[in-house]
Amino acid sequence: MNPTKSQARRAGLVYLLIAIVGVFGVLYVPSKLIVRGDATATGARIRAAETLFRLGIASELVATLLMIALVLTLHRLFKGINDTQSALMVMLVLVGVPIAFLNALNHVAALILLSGADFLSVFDPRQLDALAYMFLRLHTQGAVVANIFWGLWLFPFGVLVMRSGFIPRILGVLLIINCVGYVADSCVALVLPRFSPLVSRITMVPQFIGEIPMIVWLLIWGAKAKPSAAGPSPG
Amino acid sequence: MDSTRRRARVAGWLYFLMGITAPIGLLYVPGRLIVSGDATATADRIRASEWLFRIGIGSELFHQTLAVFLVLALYRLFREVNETHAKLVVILGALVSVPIVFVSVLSELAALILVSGAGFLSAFEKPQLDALAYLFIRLRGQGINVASIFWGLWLFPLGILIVRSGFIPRFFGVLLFFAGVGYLASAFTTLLVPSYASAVDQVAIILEVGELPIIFWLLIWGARDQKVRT
Repeated sequence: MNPTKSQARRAGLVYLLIAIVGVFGVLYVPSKLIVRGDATATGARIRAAETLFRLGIASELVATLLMIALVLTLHRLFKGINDTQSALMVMLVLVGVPIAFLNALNHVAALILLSGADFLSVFDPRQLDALAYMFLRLHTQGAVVANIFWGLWLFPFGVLVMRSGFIPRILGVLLIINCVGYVADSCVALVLPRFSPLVSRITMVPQFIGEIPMIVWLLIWGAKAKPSAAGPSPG
Repeated sequence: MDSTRRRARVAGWLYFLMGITAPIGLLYVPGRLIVSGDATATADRIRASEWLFRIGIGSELFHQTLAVFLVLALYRLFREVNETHAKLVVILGALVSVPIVFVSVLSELAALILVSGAGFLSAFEKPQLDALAYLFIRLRGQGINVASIFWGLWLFPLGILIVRSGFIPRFFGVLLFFAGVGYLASAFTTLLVPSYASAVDQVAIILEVGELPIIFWLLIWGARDQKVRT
Protein backbone atom coordinates (compact mmCIF):
# COMPACT_ATOMS: atom_id res chain seq x y z
CA MET A 1 0.00 0.00 0.00
CA ASN A 2 2.79 2.42 0.84
CA PRO A 3 4.56 2.37 -2.53
CA THR A 4 1.18 3.14 -4.12
CA LYS A 5 0.75 6.12 -1.86
CA SER A 6 4.20 7.46 -2.56
CA GLN A 7 3.54 7.13 -6.30
CA ALA A 8 0.20 8.89 -5.88
CA ARG A 9 1.99 11.70 -4.07
CA ARG A 10 4.60 11.96 -6.80
CA ALA A 11 1.90 11.95 -9.50
CA GLY A 12 -0.03 14.61 -7.62
CA LEU A 13 3.03 16.85 -7.30
CA VAL A 14 3.96 16.52 -10.98
CA TYR A 15 0.34 17.11 -11.98
CA LEU A 16 0.18 20.25 -9.82
CA LEU A 17 3.42 21.49 -11.35
CA ILE A 18 2.01 20.95 -14.84
CA ALA A 19 -1.09 22.92 -13.91
CA ILE A 20 0.94 25.84 -12.53
CA VAL A 21 3.48 25.93 -15.37
CA GLY A 22 0.68 25.43 -17.91
CA VAL A 23 -1.42 28.31 -16.58
CA PHE A 24 1.63 30.58 -16.77
CA GLY A 25 2.39 29.65 -20.40
CA VAL A 26 -1.13 29.20 -21.73
CA LEU A 27 -2.99 32.00 -19.90
CA TYR A 28 -0.67 34.51 -18.23
CA VAL A 29 1.92 35.16 -20.95
CA PRO A 30 -0.56 35.49 -23.85
CA SER A 31 -2.78 37.76 -21.75
CA LYS A 32 0.19 40.12 -21.27
CA LEU A 33 1.48 40.05 -24.85
CA ILE A 34 -1.28 39.35 -27.36
CA VAL A 35 -3.55 42.18 -28.43
CA ARG A 36 -6.44 40.44 -30.17
CA GLY A 37 -6.65 41.25 -33.85
CA ASP A 38 -3.88 43.87 -33.68
CA ALA A 39 -0.67 42.55 -35.22
CA THR A 40 1.32 45.76 -34.79
CA ALA A 41 0.51 46.21 -31.10
CA THR A 42 1.20 42.52 -30.44
CA GLY A 43 4.51 42.73 -32.29
CA ALA A 44 5.53 45.79 -30.27
CA ARG A 45 4.66 44.12 -26.96
CA ILE A 46 6.61 40.95 -27.77
CA ARG A 47 9.64 42.97 -28.88
CA ALA A 48 9.45 44.90 -25.60
CA ALA A 49 9.08 41.78 -23.44
CA GLU A 50 11.00 39.15 -25.35
CA THR A 51 12.14 37.39 -22.16
CA LEU A 52 8.55 36.95 -20.97
CA PHE A 53 7.63 35.54 -24.38
CA ARG A 54 10.57 33.13 -24.24
CA LEU A 55 9.54 32.08 -20.71
CA GLY A 56 6.15 31.26 -22.19
CA ILE A 57 7.77 29.01 -24.79
CA ALA A 58 9.94 27.35 -22.13
CA SER A 59 6.97 26.80 -19.83
CA GLU A 60 5.06 25.09 -22.63
CA LEU A 61 8.00 22.75 -23.28
CA VAL A 62 8.51 22.03 -19.56
CA ALA A 63 4.81 21.32 -18.98
CA THR A 64 4.86 18.93 -21.94
CA LEU A 65 7.96 17.14 -20.65
CA LEU A 66 6.34 16.82 -17.24
CA MET A 67 3.39 15.11 -18.93
CA ILE A 68 5.75 12.24 -19.78
CA ALA A 69 6.86 12.00 -16.15
CA LEU A 70 3.23 12.16 -14.99
CA VAL A 71 1.93 9.44 -17.28
CA LEU A 72 4.83 7.11 -16.45
CA THR A 73 4.19 7.62 -12.72
CA LEU A 74 0.48 6.93 -13.24
CA HIS A 75 1.41 3.86 -15.30
CA ARG A 76 3.26 2.52 -12.24
CA LEU A 77 0.52 3.61 -9.85
CA PHE A 78 -2.08 1.62 -11.82
CA LYS A 79 0.15 -1.40 -12.46
CA GLY A 80 -1.85 -4.62 -12.55
CA ILE A 81 -5.25 -2.95 -12.88
CA ASN A 82 -5.63 -3.09 -16.66
CA ASP A 83 -2.64 -3.38 -18.97
CA THR A 84 -4.49 -2.30 -22.09
CA GLN A 85 -6.00 0.85 -20.59
CA SER A 86 -2.66 1.65 -19.00
CA ALA A 87 -0.80 1.26 -22.31
CA LEU A 88 -3.43 3.32 -24.10
CA MET A 89 -3.04 6.11 -21.54
CA VAL A 90 0.73 6.21 -22.07
CA MET A 91 0.42 6.08 -25.86
CA LEU A 92 -2.09 8.93 -26.07
CA VAL A 93 0.23 11.16 -24.04
CA LEU A 94 3.33 10.14 -26.01
CA VAL A 95 1.61 11.07 -29.27
CA GLY A 96 0.63 14.47 -27.89
CA VAL A 97 4.17 15.40 -26.83
CA PRO A 98 5.78 15.92 -30.28
CA ILE A 99 2.73 17.87 -31.46
CA ALA A 100 3.09 20.28 -28.55
CA PHE A 101 6.84 20.57 -29.09
CA LEU A 102 6.53 21.33 -32.81
CA ASN A 103 3.73 23.75 -32.01
CA ALA A 104 6.18 25.72 -29.84
CA LEU A 105 8.11 26.31 -33.08
CA ASN A 106 5.27 28.58 -34.21
CA HIS A 107 6.15 30.90 -31.34
CA VAL A 108 9.81 30.69 -32.30
CA ALA A 109 8.87 31.60 -35.90
CA ALA A 110 7.05 34.68 -34.59
CA LEU A 111 10.15 35.66 -32.60
CA ILE A 112 12.37 35.38 -35.68
CA LEU A 113 9.95 37.49 -37.72
CA LEU A 114 9.88 40.16 -35.00
CA SER A 115 13.65 40.09 -34.45
CA GLY A 116 14.42 42.80 -36.98
CA ALA A 117 17.07 40.59 -38.58
CA ASP A 118 18.65 41.97 -41.75
CA PHE A 119 17.48 39.20 -44.05
CA LEU A 120 13.88 40.26 -43.34
CA SER A 121 14.38 43.79 -44.65
CA VAL A 122 12.68 42.88 -47.97
CA PHE A 123 9.38 42.96 -46.05
CA ASP A 124 7.62 46.03 -44.64
CA PRO A 125 7.51 46.17 -40.82
CA ARG A 126 3.70 45.86 -41.05
CA GLN A 127 4.03 42.70 -43.11
CA LEU A 128 6.47 41.17 -40.62
CA ASP A 129 4.10 41.97 -37.75
CA ALA A 130 1.25 40.39 -39.69
CA LEU A 131 3.26 37.23 -40.43
CA ALA A 132 4.33 37.00 -36.80
CA TYR A 133 0.70 37.38 -35.72
CA MET A 134 -0.26 34.66 -38.21
CA PHE A 135 2.17 32.30 -36.46
CA LEU A 136 0.72 33.26 -33.07
CA ARG A 137 -2.75 32.40 -34.40
CA LEU A 138 -1.35 29.16 -35.80
CA HIS A 139 0.07 28.36 -32.37
CA THR A 140 -3.42 28.70 -30.91
CA GLN A 141 -4.73 26.33 -33.58
CA GLY A 142 -1.87 23.94 -32.79
CA ALA A 143 -2.91 23.96 -29.14
CA VAL A 144 -6.45 23.07 -30.23
CA VAL A 145 -5.07 20.13 -32.23
CA ALA A 146 -2.80 18.96 -29.39
CA ASN A 147 -5.72 19.23 -26.95
CA ILE A 148 -7.34 16.28 -28.70
CA PHE A 149 -4.69 14.09 -27.06
CA TRP A 150 -4.55 16.09 -23.81
CA GLY A 151 -8.23 15.23 -23.63
CA LEU A 152 -8.21 11.66 -24.94
CA TRP A 153 -5.68 10.32 -22.44
CA LEU A 154 -8.08 11.24 -19.63
CA PHE A 155 -10.44 8.49 -20.83
CA PRO A 156 -8.19 5.49 -20.04
CA PHE A 157 -6.97 7.44 -16.98
CA GLY A 158 -10.59 7.75 -15.80
CA VAL A 159 -11.28 4.07 -16.48
CA LEU A 160 -8.19 3.10 -14.46
CA VAL A 161 -9.27 5.37 -11.59
CA MET A 162 -12.73 3.74 -11.57
CA ARG A 163 -11.28 0.23 -11.54
CA SER A 164 -8.42 1.00 -9.16
CA GLY A 165 -10.34 0.35 -5.97
CA PHE A 166 -8.28 2.92 -4.07
CA ILE A 167 -9.49 6.13 -5.72
CA PRO A 168 -13.15 7.24 -5.45
CA ARG A 169 -14.98 6.19 -8.62
CA ILE A 170 -16.56 9.62 -9.01
CA LEU A 171 -13.12 11.11 -9.76
CA GLY A 172 -12.79 8.70 -12.67
CA VAL A 173 -16.22 9.67 -13.97
CA LEU A 174 -15.23 13.33 -13.79
CA LEU A 175 -12.05 12.62 -15.78
CA ILE A 176 -14.07 10.91 -18.50
CA ILE A 177 -16.48 13.87 -18.66
CA ASN A 178 -13.44 16.12 -18.83
CA CYS A 179 -12.10 14.02 -21.74
CA VAL A 180 -15.36 14.49 -23.64
CA GLY A 181 -15.18 18.23 -22.93
CA TYR A 182 -11.66 18.63 -24.33
CA VAL A 183 -12.33 16.55 -27.42
CA ALA A 184 -15.67 18.23 -28.15
CA ASP A 185 -14.04 21.63 -27.73
CA SER A 186 -11.28 20.80 -30.23
CA CYS A 187 -13.55 19.12 -32.77
CA VAL A 188 -15.99 22.03 -32.81
CA ALA A 189 -13.17 24.61 -33.02
CA LEU A 190 -11.67 22.80 -36.02
CA VAL A 191 -14.73 21.69 -37.97
CA LEU A 192 -17.52 24.08 -36.88
CA PRO A 193 -15.65 27.18 -35.63
CA ARG A 194 -18.87 29.21 -35.68
CA PHE A 195 -20.16 27.29 -32.65
CA SER A 196 -16.82 27.28 -30.87
CA PRO A 197 -17.49 30.14 -28.38
CA LEU A 198 -20.78 28.53 -27.36
CA VAL A 199 -19.31 25.05 -26.88
CA SER A 200 -16.27 26.41 -25.03
CA ARG A 201 -18.58 28.02 -22.50
CA ILE A 202 -20.16 24.61 -21.80
CA THR A 203 -16.93 22.58 -21.81
CA MET A 204 -15.16 25.00 -19.45
CA VAL A 205 -17.12 23.48 -16.56
CA PRO A 206 -15.79 19.88 -16.82
CA GLN A 207 -12.28 21.25 -17.22
CA PHE A 208 -12.52 22.68 -13.72
CA ILE A 209 -14.28 19.77 -12.06
CA GLY A 210 -12.24 17.03 -13.78
CA GLU A 211 -8.50 17.32 -13.43
CA ILE A 212 -8.29 19.67 -10.44
CA PRO A 213 -10.12 17.37 -7.95
CA MET A 214 -7.88 14.54 -9.19
CA ILE A 215 -4.73 16.55 -8.45
CA VAL A 216 -6.02 17.51 -5.00
CA TRP A 217 -7.01 13.94 -4.20
CA LEU A 218 -3.65 12.50 -5.29
CA LEU A 219 -1.80 15.06 -3.15
CA ILE A 220 -3.94 14.58 -0.03
CA TRP A 221 -4.25 10.81 -0.19
CA GLY A 222 -0.59 10.42 -1.13
CA ALA A 223 0.49 12.78 1.66
CA LYS A 224 -1.33 10.68 4.25
CA ALA A 225 1.13 7.87 3.61
CA LYS A 226 3.82 9.06 5.98
CA PRO A 227 1.88 9.67 9.18
CA SER A 228 -0.19 6.47 8.85
CA ALA A 229 2.75 4.27 7.92
CA ALA A 230 3.57 2.22 10.98
CA GLY A 231 6.24 0.01 9.45
CA PRO A 232 9.33 0.98 7.45
CA SER A 233 8.27 3.23 4.61
CA PRO A 234 9.98 2.82 1.25
CA GLY A 235 9.00 6.48 0.67
CA MET B 1 -9.04 -18.81 -29.69
CA ASP B 2 -12.25 -16.96 -28.88
CA SER B 3 -10.40 -13.97 -27.50
CA THR B 4 -8.11 -13.96 -30.56
CA ARG B 5 -11.17 -13.70 -32.79
CA ARG B 6 -12.60 -10.94 -30.64
CA ARG B 7 -9.31 -9.04 -30.88
CA ALA B 8 -9.23 -9.59 -34.64
CA ARG B 9 -12.74 -8.18 -34.87
CA VAL B 10 -11.84 -5.05 -32.89
CA ALA B 11 -8.72 -4.49 -34.99
CA GLY B 12 -10.69 -5.14 -38.18
CA TRP B 13 -13.35 -2.57 -37.34
CA LEU B 14 -10.80 0.08 -36.39
CA TYR B 15 -8.82 -0.59 -39.57
CA PHE B 16 -12.02 -0.49 -41.62
CA LEU B 17 -13.10 2.83 -40.09
CA MET B 18 -9.68 4.25 -40.90
CA GLY B 19 -9.90 2.89 -44.41
CA ILE B 20 -13.19 4.62 -45.14
CA THR B 21 -12.39 7.98 -43.51
CA ALA B 22 -8.80 8.41 -44.67
CA PRO B 23 -9.58 8.93 -48.39
CA ILE B 24 -11.87 11.90 -47.55
CA GLY B 25 -9.01 14.02 -46.23
CA LEU B 26 -6.20 12.51 -48.30
CA LEU B 27 -7.83 12.25 -51.72
CA TYR B 28 -11.36 13.63 -52.05
CA VAL B 29 -11.03 17.07 -50.43
CA PRO B 30 -7.64 17.96 -51.98
CA GLY B 31 -8.99 16.75 -55.33
CA ARG B 32 -11.94 19.11 -55.05
CA LEU B 33 -10.14 22.17 -53.67
CA ILE B 34 -6.54 22.20 -54.84
CA VAL B 35 -5.89 23.54 -58.33
CA SER B 36 -2.35 22.42 -59.06
CA GLY B 37 0.00 25.36 -59.56
CA ASP B 38 -2.76 27.98 -59.26
CA ALA B 39 -2.68 29.71 -55.87
CA THR B 40 -5.53 32.12 -56.58
CA ALA B 41 -7.94 29.46 -57.83
CA THR B 42 -7.04 27.20 -54.89
CA ALA B 43 -7.57 29.99 -52.35
CA ASP B 44 -10.89 30.95 -53.98
CA ARG B 45 -12.10 27.37 -53.78
CA ILE B 46 -11.07 27.05 -50.13
CA ARG B 47 -12.83 30.32 -49.30
CA ALA B 48 -15.96 29.15 -51.11
CA SER B 49 -15.98 25.69 -49.48
CA GLU B 50 -14.36 26.29 -46.13
CA TRP B 51 -16.65 23.65 -44.59
CA LEU B 52 -15.35 21.01 -47.02
CA PHE B 53 -11.75 21.98 -46.26
CA ARG B 54 -12.50 21.67 -42.54
CA ILE B 55 -14.14 18.26 -43.07
CA GLY B 56 -10.89 17.18 -44.72
CA ILE B 57 -8.98 18.35 -41.64
CA GLY B 58 -11.46 16.57 -39.38
CA SER B 59 -11.14 13.32 -41.33
CA GLU B 60 -7.33 13.40 -41.13
CA LEU B 61 -7.34 13.98 -37.38
CA PHE B 62 -10.03 11.34 -36.90
CA HIS B 63 -8.34 8.52 -38.80
CA GLN B 64 -4.96 9.30 -37.27
CA THR B 65 -6.49 9.19 -33.78
CA LEU B 66 -8.00 5.83 -34.70
CA ALA B 67 -4.50 4.67 -35.67
CA VAL B 68 -3.46 4.87 -32.00
CA PHE B 69 -6.31 2.55 -31.03
CA LEU B 70 -5.70 0.29 -34.04
CA VAL B 71 -2.02 -0.37 -33.28
CA LEU B 72 -2.91 -1.20 -29.69
CA ALA B 73 -5.59 -3.63 -30.91
CA LEU B 74 -3.05 -5.22 -33.29
CA TYR B 75 -0.50 -5.38 -30.48
CA ARG B 76 -2.97 -7.33 -28.37
CA LEU B 77 -3.81 -9.59 -31.30
CA PHE B 78 -0.18 -10.42 -32.16
CA ARG B 79 1.65 -10.02 -28.84
CA GLU B 80 1.98 -13.76 -28.41
CA VAL B 81 3.31 -14.24 -31.96
CA ASN B 82 6.31 -11.99 -31.48
CA GLU B 83 6.49 -9.28 -28.84
CA THR B 84 9.26 -7.30 -30.59
CA HIS B 85 7.47 -7.05 -33.91
CA ALA B 86 4.19 -6.26 -32.16
CA LYS B 87 5.94 -3.36 -30.42
CA LEU B 88 7.38 -2.19 -33.75
CA VAL B 89 3.84 -2.08 -35.14
CA VAL B 90 2.86 0.25 -32.28
CA ILE B 91 5.92 2.48 -32.67
CA LEU B 92 6.04 2.75 -36.47
CA GLY B 93 2.29 2.53 -37.00
CA ALA B 94 1.24 5.32 -34.66
CA LEU B 95 3.62 6.70 -32.05
CA VAL B 96 5.93 8.28 -34.62
CA SER B 97 3.63 8.88 -37.57
CA VAL B 98 0.52 10.29 -35.90
CA PRO B 99 2.27 13.44 -34.59
CA ILE B 100 3.74 14.04 -38.06
CA VAL B 101 0.28 14.02 -39.64
CA PHE B 102 -1.20 16.14 -36.86
CA VAL B 103 1.51 18.74 -37.39
CA SER B 104 0.91 18.60 -41.16
CA VAL B 105 -2.72 19.47 -40.49
CA LEU B 106 -1.39 22.66 -38.89
CA SER B 107 -0.19 23.70 -42.35
CA GLU B 108 -3.78 23.45 -43.57
CA LEU B 109 -4.91 25.57 -40.62
CA ALA B 110 -2.21 28.12 -41.56
CA ALA B 111 -3.64 28.24 -45.09
CA LEU B 112 -7.11 28.79 -43.62
CA ILE B 113 -5.87 31.73 -41.53
CA LEU B 114 -4.19 33.26 -44.60
CA VAL B 115 -7.29 33.05 -46.80
CA SER B 116 -9.60 34.15 -43.94
CA GLY B 117 -9.41 37.84 -44.87
CA ALA B 118 -8.69 38.74 -41.23
CA GLY B 119 -7.99 42.43 -40.69
CA PHE B 120 -4.40 41.98 -39.49
CA LEU B 121 -3.47 40.54 -42.91
CA SER B 122 -4.20 43.81 -44.72
CA ALA B 123 -0.45 44.53 -44.85
CA PHE B 124 -0.37 41.99 -47.70
CA GLU B 125 -2.07 42.05 -51.08
CA LYS B 126 -4.52 39.29 -51.88
CA PRO B 127 -2.25 37.53 -54.43
CA GLN B 128 0.50 37.46 -51.82
CA LEU B 129 -1.81 35.93 -49.21
CA ASP B 130 -3.06 33.38 -51.76
CA ALA B 131 0.55 32.49 -52.61
CA LEU B 132 1.47 32.08 -48.94
CA ALA B 133 -1.61 29.93 -48.38
CA TYR B 134 -0.65 27.80 -51.36
CA LEU B 135 2.86 27.43 -49.92
CA PHE B 136 1.32 25.95 -46.76
CA ILE B 137 -0.93 23.67 -48.85
CA ARG B 138 2.18 22.41 -50.67
CA LEU B 139 3.99 22.01 -47.36
CA ARG B 140 1.08 19.97 -46.04
CA GLY B 141 1.32 17.68 -49.07
CA GLN B 142 5.02 17.17 -48.39
CA GLY B 143 4.25 16.55 -44.70
CA ILE B 144 1.84 13.77 -45.65
CA ASN B 145 4.51 12.39 -47.97
CA VAL B 146 7.05 12.32 -45.13
CA ALA B 147 4.50 10.65 -42.84
CA SER B 148 3.78 8.01 -45.48
CA ILE B 149 7.33 6.68 -44.99
CA PHE B 150 5.96 5.32 -41.72
CA TRP B 151 2.70 4.23 -43.32
CA GLY B 152 4.91 1.95 -45.41
CA LEU B 153 7.40 0.92 -42.72
CA TRP B 154 4.85 -0.34 -40.16
CA LEU B 155 3.44 -2.80 -42.70
CA PHE B 156 6.68 -4.85 -42.61
CA PRO B 157 6.49 -5.92 -38.94
CA LEU B 158 2.73 -6.32 -39.37
CA GLY B 159 3.31 -8.53 -42.42
CA ILE B 160 5.87 -10.64 -40.54
CA LEU B 161 3.42 -11.10 -37.65
CA ILE B 162 0.69 -12.23 -40.04
CA VAL B 163 3.02 -14.65 -41.85
CA ARG B 164 4.12 -16.15 -38.51
CA SER B 165 0.73 -15.99 -36.79
CA GLY B 166 -0.53 -19.38 -37.86
CA PHE B 167 -4.13 -18.18 -37.82
CA ILE B 168 -4.05 -15.80 -40.80
CA PRO B 169 -3.17 -17.07 -44.30
CA ARG B 170 0.46 -16.10 -45.04
CA PHE B 171 -0.58 -14.59 -48.35
CA PHE B 172 -2.15 -11.59 -46.55
CA GLY B 173 1.17 -10.85 -44.89
CA VAL B 174 3.03 -11.02 -48.19
CA LEU B 175 0.57 -8.54 -49.69
CA LEU B 176 1.48 -6.12 -46.91
CA PHE B 177 5.17 -6.32 -47.84
CA PHE B 178 4.25 -5.24 -51.37
CA ALA B 179 2.05 -2.43 -50.01
CA GLY B 180 4.92 -1.32 -47.77
CA VAL B 181 7.27 -1.18 -50.75
CA GLY B 182 4.63 0.85 -52.59
CA TYR B 183 4.40 3.49 -49.86
CA LEU B 184 8.18 3.75 -49.53
CA ALA B 185 8.77 3.94 -53.30
CA SER B 186 6.15 6.65 -53.62
CA ALA B 187 7.48 8.67 -50.68
CA PHE B 188 11.13 8.56 -51.72
CA THR B 189 10.40 9.24 -55.37
CA THR B 190 8.44 12.35 -54.38
CA LEU B 191 11.36 13.48 -52.21
CA LEU B 192 14.28 12.60 -54.45
CA VAL B 193 13.10 12.61 -58.08
CA PRO B 194 9.77 14.44 -58.02
CA SER B 195 9.51 14.45 -61.82
CA TYR B 196 8.93 10.67 -61.71
CA ALA B 197 6.51 10.83 -58.81
CA SER B 198 3.28 10.55 -60.79
CA ALA B 199 4.61 7.61 -62.83
CA VAL B 200 5.76 5.72 -59.73
CA ASP B 201 2.51 6.56 -57.93
CA GLN B 202 0.52 4.73 -60.58
CA VAL B 203 2.35 1.50 -59.77
CA ALA B 204 2.57 2.23 -56.03
CA ILE B 205 -1.19 2.64 -55.70
CA ILE B 206 -1.71 -0.87 -57.05
CA LEU B 207 0.73 -2.23 -54.46
CA GLU B 208 -0.90 -0.15 -51.71
CA VAL B 209 -4.24 -1.80 -52.43
CA GLY B 210 -2.61 -4.89 -50.87
CA GLU B 211 -3.40 -3.32 -47.52
CA LEU B 212 -7.16 -3.80 -48.05
CA PRO B 213 -7.61 -7.63 -48.01
CA ILE B 214 -6.33 -8.02 -44.44
CA ILE B 215 -8.93 -5.50 -43.23
CA PHE B 216 -11.75 -7.63 -44.60
CA TRP B 217 -10.11 -10.86 -43.47
CA LEU B 218 -9.93 -9.55 -39.88
CA LEU B 219 -13.56 -8.41 -40.02
CA ILE B 220 -14.92 -11.64 -41.51
CA TRP B 221 -12.81 -14.09 -39.50
CA GLY B 222 -13.42 -12.07 -36.35
CA ALA B 223 -17.17 -11.86 -36.96
CA ARG B 224 -17.60 -15.59 -37.53
CA ASP B 225 -16.99 -16.20 -33.86
CA GLN B 226 -19.76 -13.79 -32.92
CA LYS B 227 -22.31 -15.72 -35.00
CA VAL B 228 -21.31 -19.07 -33.54
CA ARG B 229 -21.61 -17.80 -30.00
CA THR B 230 -24.91 -15.94 -30.23
